[in-house]
Amino acid sequence: MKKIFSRISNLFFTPSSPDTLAFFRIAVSAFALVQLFVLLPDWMWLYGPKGLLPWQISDALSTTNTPSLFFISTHLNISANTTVYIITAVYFFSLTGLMIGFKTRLMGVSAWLMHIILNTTGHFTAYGVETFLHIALFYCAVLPVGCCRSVDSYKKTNQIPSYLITLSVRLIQLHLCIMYLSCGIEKSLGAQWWNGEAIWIALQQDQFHQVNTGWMAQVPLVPKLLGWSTLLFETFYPVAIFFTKTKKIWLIAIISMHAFIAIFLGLQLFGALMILLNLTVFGNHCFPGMFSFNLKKSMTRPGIIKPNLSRQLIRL
Amino acid sequence: MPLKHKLYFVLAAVHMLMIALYATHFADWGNTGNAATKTLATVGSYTGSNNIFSFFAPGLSDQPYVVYAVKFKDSTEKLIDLKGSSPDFTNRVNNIYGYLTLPEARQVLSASLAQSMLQRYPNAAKIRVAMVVQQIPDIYAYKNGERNIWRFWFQNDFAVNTPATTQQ
Repeated sequence: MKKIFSRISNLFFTPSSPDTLAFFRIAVSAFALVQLFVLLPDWMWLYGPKGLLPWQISDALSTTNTPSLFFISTHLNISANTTVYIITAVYFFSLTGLMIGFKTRLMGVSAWLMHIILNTTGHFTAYGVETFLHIALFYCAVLPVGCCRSVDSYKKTNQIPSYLITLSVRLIQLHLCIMYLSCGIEKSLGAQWWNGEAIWIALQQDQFHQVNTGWMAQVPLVPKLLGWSTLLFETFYPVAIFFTKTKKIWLIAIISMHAFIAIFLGLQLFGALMILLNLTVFGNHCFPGMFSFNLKKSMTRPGIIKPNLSRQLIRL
Repeated sequence: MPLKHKLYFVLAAVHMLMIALYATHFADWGNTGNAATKTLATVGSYTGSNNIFSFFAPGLSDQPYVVYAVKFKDSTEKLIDLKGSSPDFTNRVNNIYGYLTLPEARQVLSASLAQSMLQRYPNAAKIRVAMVVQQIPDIYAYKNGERNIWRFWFQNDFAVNTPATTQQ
């Protein structure tokens, strides 16, 4: 019991590199900006008042209590199109500010809220990529992601104890762990992932069909092995990613899985976001020193208490 | 550690607990109408802790797709496969088509899609929203020569300023 308590304590109090949070912030905001530009030509079809689904319809069918563009437009008495332009502009500037770490907290909260508003309106068109972007932006809003490698960190004298950095990193890591465990268990409940049919169907469906995979019918072991490996890497992710001997191979495997999804199923944005989340959140944990360029300098800048000093403070 | 920081640890634990609960389909456990569950759901909507992670799980079903037939006022016709400027837009449109498999959502969603077609083609006199479903044979049937087929599912016709007619 004492050993377990000690391990939990180590998990949450062993100093983590603040660079993990900084790279998480930069990756998430840069990704959201890329997504914004990719979707911009069709923006009004997705979020406009007379888009694929009119605002009244998407609001009436919404199951959440979060504000939508329609809500903002009617309550602030702004014209429908102007509301879209304002929210989109604020979203863009918030993401830019978040990326460079200028007024990071404010920018994080603003980007998160703008994403909620857009996503509430476009919830019928949203898929996995929006789920994870929403989660990531929430963490950018509430966690000290501007603690280093940001404009703020050069000006601020606020000191963030290392245990709060560690707590923040663990929070995102554990969220990913629960997600993969849940995905693995839910997939394993269906026969399709055991007999390879899930991989076969996904690769054959026109919506995902990127390359000709008809040859797989001659070698059914291939989709079967791909299905089994997905179950293995997702279900055991929470254990293997923290286990010294397996963490590197697991991170590489899960990134490969998302790269496969991006290339072969045409879900480039989803694949890219999941790769970025894994790399930023577990990269330094699995490959120590991954973000360590100029680390010494960033750790001694104002804004961060040195881990050793922080440990002493905790003991005091 | 100051009290404020201790509170952060408590909040983080509650957040993790919510993620774990919702991942196990907490929302389907029972009474979802009480105030506590509604509050949790609202908090979850903002924090992203109310998600279930069943991507491609437990398996994949047939792929629904929609084709549009637009008849113009000059009696010419055009078949339209709705595509955007990026593959991601197409992924999102496919997401809407997934909801058309729900009979209760079919009428309102197909009417919405028809009006978006009318936005694109203001000269349209009649718009047909037809849903087809791609059926994939299993791997062994494919090996024996069966191939993917598209099956008609339903169609809704919308004439400008007249009510819709449905055929299934």
